[in-house]
Amino acid sequence: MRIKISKPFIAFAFLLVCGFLSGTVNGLFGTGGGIIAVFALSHVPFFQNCLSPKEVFATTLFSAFIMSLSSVFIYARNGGVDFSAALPYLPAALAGGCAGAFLLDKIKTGVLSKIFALLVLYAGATLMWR
Amino acid sequence: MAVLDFIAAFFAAALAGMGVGGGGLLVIYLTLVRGAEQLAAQGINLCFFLALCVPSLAIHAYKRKIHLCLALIFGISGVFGTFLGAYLLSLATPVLLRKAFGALLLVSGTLALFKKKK
Repeated sequence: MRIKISKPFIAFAFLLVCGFLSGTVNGLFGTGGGIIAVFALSHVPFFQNCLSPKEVFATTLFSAFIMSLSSVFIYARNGGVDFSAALPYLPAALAGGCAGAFLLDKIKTGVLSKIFALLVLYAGATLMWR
Repeated sequence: MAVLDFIAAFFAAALAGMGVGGGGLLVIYLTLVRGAEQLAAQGINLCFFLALCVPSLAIHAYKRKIHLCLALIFGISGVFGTFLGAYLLSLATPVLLRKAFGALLLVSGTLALFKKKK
């Protein structure tokens, strides 16, 4: 018997696999799952024309929030989260998160993205060869 | 140092909220500037990321930018992945973890540098 696999089914399976990989990166590094999520939602033919780049980003952010909630519980259970050390950074996170979401529609992030990429490359090289 | 912490965290959160960079910027600051252990920095970063997501997601939801169904499919399958990630984390030495995070940054930095604007 030949099973006919539909395009939505393949796209759905691809999303599940990418979501799992994204969660693995999130659990291992406490960040970074968004890269895979953005890649998946931007490159699956079934979805890529449905979502604008801003919708891809917002959707990715929400899925990363769910994964990070899970990671925080796992880290906390294993003693990997010092909540008192994290506390001083939370007001800045709330203010910065608010500012970033407001500015998303208002400023062009092209140059900023390139500066960010160079900073990340420098940090990556330093951590690799330190 | 508290002022510098606030400025660094504010810009990291603002950039993450704009979609320029992920929450990983704070890990970079904590490890390279503050000399924190990689694992401790990751724990702080997770709390930081959850906090920045709250106002950011509220605004994106208000603007109707979130595709809830896709986010839930992705997020819930990701929850299973976090268990594998945490297991791999328990096997990794601090040096290996730092180098692997460095490799992740090199990949994401390269992708961001050569990303074509749509």
